Amino acid sequence: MKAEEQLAEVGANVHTNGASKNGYANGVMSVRPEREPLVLGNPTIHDVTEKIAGIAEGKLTPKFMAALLASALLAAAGVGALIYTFAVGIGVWGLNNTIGWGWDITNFVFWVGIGHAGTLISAVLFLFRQKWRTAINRSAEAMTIFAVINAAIFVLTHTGRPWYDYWLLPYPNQMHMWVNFRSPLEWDVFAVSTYFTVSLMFWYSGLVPDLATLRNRAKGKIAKAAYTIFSLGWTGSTRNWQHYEFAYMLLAGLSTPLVLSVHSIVSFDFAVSILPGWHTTIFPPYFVAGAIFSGFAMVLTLMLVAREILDLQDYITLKHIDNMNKIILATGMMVGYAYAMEMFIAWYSVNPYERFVFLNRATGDYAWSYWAMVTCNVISPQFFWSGKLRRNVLFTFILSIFVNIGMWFERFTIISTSLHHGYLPSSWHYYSPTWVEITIFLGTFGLFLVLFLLFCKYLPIIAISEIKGIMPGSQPSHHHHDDDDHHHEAVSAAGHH
Amino acid sequence: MNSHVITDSSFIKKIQQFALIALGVGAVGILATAFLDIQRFFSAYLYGFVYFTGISVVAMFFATLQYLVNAGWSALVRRIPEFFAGFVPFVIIGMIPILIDVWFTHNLYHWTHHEVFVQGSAEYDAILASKHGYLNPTFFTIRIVLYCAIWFFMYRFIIGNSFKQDESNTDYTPTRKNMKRAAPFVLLFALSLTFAGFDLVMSLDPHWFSTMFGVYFFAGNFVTTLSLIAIFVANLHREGNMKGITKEHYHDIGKFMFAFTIFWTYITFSQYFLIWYGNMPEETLYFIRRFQNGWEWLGYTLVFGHFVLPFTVLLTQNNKRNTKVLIAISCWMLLMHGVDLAFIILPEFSKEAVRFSWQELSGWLFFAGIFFTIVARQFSKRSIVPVNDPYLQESYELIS
Repeated sequence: MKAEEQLAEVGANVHTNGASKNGYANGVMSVRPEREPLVLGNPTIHDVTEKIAGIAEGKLTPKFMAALLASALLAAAGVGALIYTFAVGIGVWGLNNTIGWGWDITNFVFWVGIGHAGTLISAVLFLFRQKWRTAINRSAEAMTIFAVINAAIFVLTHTGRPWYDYWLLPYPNQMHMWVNFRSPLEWDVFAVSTYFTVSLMFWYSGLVPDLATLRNRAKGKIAKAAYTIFSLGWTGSTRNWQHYEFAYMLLAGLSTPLVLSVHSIVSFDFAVSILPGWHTTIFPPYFVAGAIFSGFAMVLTLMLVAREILDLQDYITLKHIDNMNKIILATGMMVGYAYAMEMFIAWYSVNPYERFVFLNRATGDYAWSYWAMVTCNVISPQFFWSGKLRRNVLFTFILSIFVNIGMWFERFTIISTSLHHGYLPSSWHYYSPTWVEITIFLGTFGLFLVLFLLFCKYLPIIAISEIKGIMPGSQPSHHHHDDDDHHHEAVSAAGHH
Repeated sequence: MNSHVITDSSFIKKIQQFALIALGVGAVGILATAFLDIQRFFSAYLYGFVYFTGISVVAMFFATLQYLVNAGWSALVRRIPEFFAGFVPFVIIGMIPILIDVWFTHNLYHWTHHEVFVQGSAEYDAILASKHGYLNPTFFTIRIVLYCAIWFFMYRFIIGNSFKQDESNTDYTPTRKNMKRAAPFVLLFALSLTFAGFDLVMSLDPHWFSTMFGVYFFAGNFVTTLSLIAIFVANLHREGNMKGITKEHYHDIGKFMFAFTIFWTYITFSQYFLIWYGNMPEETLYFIRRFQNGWEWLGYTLVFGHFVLPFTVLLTQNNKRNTKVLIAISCWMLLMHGVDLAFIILPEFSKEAVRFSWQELSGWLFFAGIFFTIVARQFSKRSIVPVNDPYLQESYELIS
């Protein structure tokens, strides 16, 4: 047990003076760098199950019910505003002839972007063997699914007559209608629905072993029945695990190109046009980086709250928050790089319209939106150069909200500024949303929170089996020959990834 | 201090021999070209220079990246790209002829002719005049000096510290310094490589522009660097000179190559596709030039050779873990990078007909000779294993 004691010591060290000088454990320059443990407090395999399954098994608290009710009311308000839109027509939104895309598409891109962290964490970080992903992948994947649902609401309603949305599907019909495959909006139909399907499958297949754990522990009749159905007869046999891991790897491989493709195609909605400010070649990777940036911010916003309320500090450690903040800093810099490239090339292209659009972005009617975007997306993440701030929970929480706001403004800036001053100055126009659009947007936040709260209550919000797989002693390793018993127990309990 | 300097490697000897022959043949060829056709000399020179500058700078970035992300798997492999980075100081010397041409002989870049900026002259070009503030010899020189300074400083710092760590297994200051400074260096690297791509390659056609170009330039170089790493690792391991390397390391390098082959395709396709779909003359001209007079065959070759073939080969586990297949596909990727660079550089010098002959080849051989001479020398001086790297044990135990 020597190794474990050592790890515990390091863990305690990190816990007490977590914000070490430069962000590494034992900040002294000459000391050998060590890996920080990913699970603190030295829990046993059983403790992990108790802790995480316990959250799903706990009683409904008044606090939870109050939060759920408030979110549901917000969502209901959004539904009301949608019904009003359908009844009266899309004219109740603030759109006009010049600006045909406003909050609807801004919010669509915003929510699709939020949905990127989940798949990145579960697929890309899995392929990169980033073990720290295990603490956050489950909740991030859940957020992906909820966010894509919200995105779908906007893209399906912005058509104005959503009851005709099935026309988007290419199916043989007697109306002599066929979809326009040359339109990026049609590509969106396939990109987003594929993304949603694969993300859902990925999330669900990861859940199966944990659902079986909940099934085995369930006391209530309904709970037992539900968990039994959804755990698909999981027994935990070697054969089960073998199939599971193969499927998981395949889905990770399939999801990875989707992380890139979805937002690339969303960016094509703009970039295939020849509108100055929209037509630029860097859009696909720029949108993908921005999506990951905003997705991580949203995961942080919600998980930092959940971490406090559900007392998950030993599982979502400062190390995890540090890592996520590093990704926020990196993707924030990529977004900043893209802004700089756009500005520079707009000037370098010597295209007067292109030059005008970018000057207008920074100094025109929507300059407030542009500078809000730059402040939140480029300037604010710079604080994360400091290891101390990366490990400051409150600071991270505030900054993650800044990033969420900034990424919303990015989409708004791109959409509005390019549209509102077109080639014909007599058509120049300004756009502001009406209360209807604002209510719908707030309503989607309500829906997002309702779904997230239900997820927290009824499903294991941390991947139990995966957490066990990364605990010290669970993997065959040259370091841990002295605790063989522990090793066997862990492997049989968790399988190994 | 127990170091592992490779003293007896037939692979390194072969590399040395190849370098010597390449340098000799390349030098004769490029000098002959200089006497026959001075513009062709410069284009061939630029072609070879960009090829190996890209590899060495990106190899340095690869090493830095390992510190930035605290990578464990790569500790045993990291010395190979660090040796490639040995070419970085030479980049400074290699820039001199390009600067001479920019100032005096004006063969490479159309915008270096002063007349294009002079209103009223027959050569006057209003578009270029409008970007005179960026495209002028003085600012170009300042930028080149800046890139060289960044790369040289990064080389001295990161690679220097990596070597320094070999001397002590109690004082980890060099490694920690690298971990701490890796992030700002990566930032400087991204900006310098982007603008070096704009300046050295994109401004060959001074009217054309693409915001994606920096990413595109990086993606191609990154795949090539990984391929060259794979060639060295597999050959040295095969002859028993890289103890501790297993098929797991092959597999990881292969996965990286696979991923970035797709990334290159994604970037290249997105750039082409958006320009094709937008169909604006100021952008399409670039590709129209590359899709006529025989140049189009380079483009078709890239679709197949830089994507379809490596994608298919690298898709399976067995191929990534097979020494012969990994070496073969890596050599193929080096060739494809040559085609890629030829496709973006050379049409600017021969618009009427596709032109790639001994002149261009000798440009490549000349720099290949210098590059591999420097790399081979590194092998005789430095330990192939970063003996005191804190994550070395993890690299030994790698399960990919």
